[in-house]
Amino acid sequence: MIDYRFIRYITWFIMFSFSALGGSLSDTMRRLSRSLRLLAYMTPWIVIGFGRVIGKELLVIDTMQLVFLFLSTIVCIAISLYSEGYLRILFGKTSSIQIIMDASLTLLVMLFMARNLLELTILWISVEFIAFLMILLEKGIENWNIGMKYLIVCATVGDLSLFTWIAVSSIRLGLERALIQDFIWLSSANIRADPVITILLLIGFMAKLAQIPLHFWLVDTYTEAPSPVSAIFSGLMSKMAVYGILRLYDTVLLSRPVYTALLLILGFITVVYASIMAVAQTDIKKMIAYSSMSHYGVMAMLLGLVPFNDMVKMVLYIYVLYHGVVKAHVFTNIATIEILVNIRDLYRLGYLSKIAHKIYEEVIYGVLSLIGLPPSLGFLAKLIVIYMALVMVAEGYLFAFLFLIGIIIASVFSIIYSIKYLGAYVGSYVETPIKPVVNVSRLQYYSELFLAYTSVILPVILMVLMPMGILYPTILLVYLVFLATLFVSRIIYNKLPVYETSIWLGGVET
Amino acid sequence: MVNGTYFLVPSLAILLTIISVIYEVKTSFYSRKIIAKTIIYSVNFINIVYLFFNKLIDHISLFFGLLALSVSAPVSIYTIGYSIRKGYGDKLNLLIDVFALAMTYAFVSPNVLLFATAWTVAELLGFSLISMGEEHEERYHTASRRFLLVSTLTFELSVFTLIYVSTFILIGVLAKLHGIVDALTKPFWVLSEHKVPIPVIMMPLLLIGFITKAAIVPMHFWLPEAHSVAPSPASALLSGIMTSMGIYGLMRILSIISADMNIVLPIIIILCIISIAYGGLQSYLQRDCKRLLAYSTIAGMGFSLMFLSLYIMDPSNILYIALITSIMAHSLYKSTLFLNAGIIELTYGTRDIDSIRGYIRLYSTSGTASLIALLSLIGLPPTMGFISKLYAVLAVLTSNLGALARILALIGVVLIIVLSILIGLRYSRIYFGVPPNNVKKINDRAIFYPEAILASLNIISVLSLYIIASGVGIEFTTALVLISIPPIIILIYMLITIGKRVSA
Repeated sequence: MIDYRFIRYITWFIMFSFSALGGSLSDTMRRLSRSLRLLAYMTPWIVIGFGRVIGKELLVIDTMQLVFLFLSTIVCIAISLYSEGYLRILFGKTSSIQIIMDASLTLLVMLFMARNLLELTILWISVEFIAFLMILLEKGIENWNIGMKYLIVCATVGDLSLFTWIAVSSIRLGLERALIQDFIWLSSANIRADPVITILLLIGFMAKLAQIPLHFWLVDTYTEAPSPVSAIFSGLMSKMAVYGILRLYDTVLLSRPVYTALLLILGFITVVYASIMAVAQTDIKKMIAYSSMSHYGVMAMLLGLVPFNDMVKMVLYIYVLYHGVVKAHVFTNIATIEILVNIRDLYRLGYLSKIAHKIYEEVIYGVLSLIGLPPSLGFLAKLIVIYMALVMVAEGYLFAFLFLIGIIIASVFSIIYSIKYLGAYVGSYVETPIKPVVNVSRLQYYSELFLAYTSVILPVILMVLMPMGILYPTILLVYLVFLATLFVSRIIYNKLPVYETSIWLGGVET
Repeated sequence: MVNGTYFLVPSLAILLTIISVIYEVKTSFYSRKIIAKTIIYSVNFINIVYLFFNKLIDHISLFFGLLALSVSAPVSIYTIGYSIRKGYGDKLNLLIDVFALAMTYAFVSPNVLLFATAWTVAELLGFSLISMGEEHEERYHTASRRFLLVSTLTFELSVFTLIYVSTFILIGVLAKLHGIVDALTKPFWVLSEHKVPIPVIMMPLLLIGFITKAAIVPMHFWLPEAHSVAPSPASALLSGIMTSMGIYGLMRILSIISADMNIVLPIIIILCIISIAYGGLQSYLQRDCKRLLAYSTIAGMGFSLMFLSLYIMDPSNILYIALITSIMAHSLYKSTLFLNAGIIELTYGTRDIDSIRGYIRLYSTSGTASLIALLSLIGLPPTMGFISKLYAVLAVLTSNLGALARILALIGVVLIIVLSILIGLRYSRIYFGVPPNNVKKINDRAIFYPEAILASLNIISVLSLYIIASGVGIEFTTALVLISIPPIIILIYMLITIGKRVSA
């Protein structure tokens, strides 16, 4: 008989010490530091794999957690490596802040591995506070008010919901059992929540997911935080809320009508508001922040539909993966732009492809994914979301119409702002291009490239792994063709570059 | 009747204490003073435990007594270095020790007579400590400030009077039922078997002294001045232990009287919410760091008293735990922070929170210690502050309170959570940035280590949940502490790093 909690704690201990050690060595022994950090993020998978080999389930973990763990492993590796390069350019010495980045990322991974309410609560609250401190990392006191806004609106409300969750469970089970029993046990315990409690339970997670009445912390936070930190915020921390609501739905019998109405309606309003605002921005970071918000709206609506169809959960998983990877990519890319030219105003940019050719090549993958074009992950996500919405409409759920409209609005506007984002690279430009003082380090380039390739290779893996019914063979074929085209065109482009010698003015000879 | 041998250990304790106090005052050596103080507090610890196991005091007294001892022992050792540097001399040491012991024995006294006596002594000593701080400050302040200082003393005096009124009314009421001798000498739990009926009209007079001591809003006026002019160790004791004496007094009184509480309790709860909001907001706006802490005491006491009232409405286990943990958390973090404020005053020569910067660059041990206390104030795991807030929310949601009481309590809890984050983060700004040039860096382990010990109690005390909360097992508490180790390490590391990097 093995105590599974014990194995989990050992795993956490190894992860935490490896990542902290890796962070602290990032100045003196760079190679060792990187491999230690990679090892730290791979530890859960090694343990799970080892368990499979010896035929025992060493880490108790369910599908939901596997998805979030998978996302966090990818994003953590990328951001951890990226931030090393970023910090080296910014500060010279990296280790003091690298420890913070890595340890916080590890705490996030630990949060997705938590198996009872006690672990979840403690890690959640710590991560919230760490997030507050991470906002201060670069600018310090300047960002104080933004950090405060984040802490009060987002974190405190979230804590209240967590505490309510514990309270609701402990009415039924007693405090200690509610806190330290496994989630499986909780979900079989028949815990009920009346409508008022349901609202109390949801409100914290919805604030974390920036749904409309509690959304105002998001844009400031995402814009003012250092860009790698924004990548963590958008790529991983927002997923905490999705995970929280899913887990809550699993363990507590919520009042269904309130649950669906709240998430669907607020999600819809958020989608519309955030999409329009995203298009109206000229600051690229603000634009991507609003875009994140509109995606959160979609996720909230998907969460609202979970009770009605078994497929919704899987769709949500893919959407979460999609959004996590693409936002980590885009925000790290914004960090790169900041390092290259230190301008975020869209209308003063437009020449980036000229000065950072390689970056431009890989950011195309990200933008493809953001728009939702094949062969990117975004295509798969949006396809099955719309497919599912149509199925639900066909099944006669009227409110699925609302969802369908929301999805369509989000997709249309996402095309506009993604193209606008790409405009920073290839648009027409009014200012003379700035010659970058420092070049982006190889580490940064490769970690962005890692995310870029992930967003085109991941769909194939997902389609092999997940059952997808009738869609499966055709989509896979389409994917492979597109993937091949993309890679081939990239090779051709690299081997046979065509550079223009004179400016082409719409065919008019001068 | 109690056997005569029962008094052997207490009288020995008193004798040893007196000898050590005299020795401590006579000797001029630093280390010998520390030894003498260690003897005082360990003897008294043994005494309290002995009294408990011989069933002379009950578990509430034991809890408050041990809390008072564990706070006052580090504070007392801290005083040695503080009094030399601040120029108070040995008088401060003597006063602090006797004051701490008087409060401890007010908590552990089993009957009304001893309680009232010890409280009176403690009150007098607190009064003289505050006036000592004022006289000391006056050397440095202009005459225009004198008016304010004099008025503080008047405030303290009025508190004193009010407590007398309450105590004498209590004794009078009890004497009517039990006879004067029995009323004074019977233990509290015997008195609580036959509760004294009291008309509602008498309640305000009976409660006012204790409410004033706990600094609930209409009677809060004396606290900010008193706690900010007293010498720092005295403020630590006044704020950490003395204010919870008000709560303790109310606990005792309400257990031995029976009255129609339906009018009184809602009023108290509303007053508590007002004091949470008022104290919290005032605290957030202060620039003097000791006044900031003093105002946040008003909020903290409002929080504790609210839970006492809720506990009287619905005497359930979880509300009791919420009450006890809130008192414990408050006295531990507040006394640590007041000790910290003392070091700040010694080093920077000012208490203006906007001009104090870079504390963590000067003192890493003390900085870390006070950051732990701050994390407890903010309410992050695994500190006692977190436990207290966790239990507060759980208690409000799970106990059998009426709808109105529950909503009011929830408002109070939300207010305290939000405001304590604001206050804690405002206070934490002193750790960031670069220290000014004119600092007088002190290097004295006898000042820093007591603070560190007191700060570590903020986390260690979580283990006591195993004893306090009968529903909670050792598995839960150890899991809580174990899981919280990585987050707390990284949090403190982050705070220190940011403090060192960021220029203010």
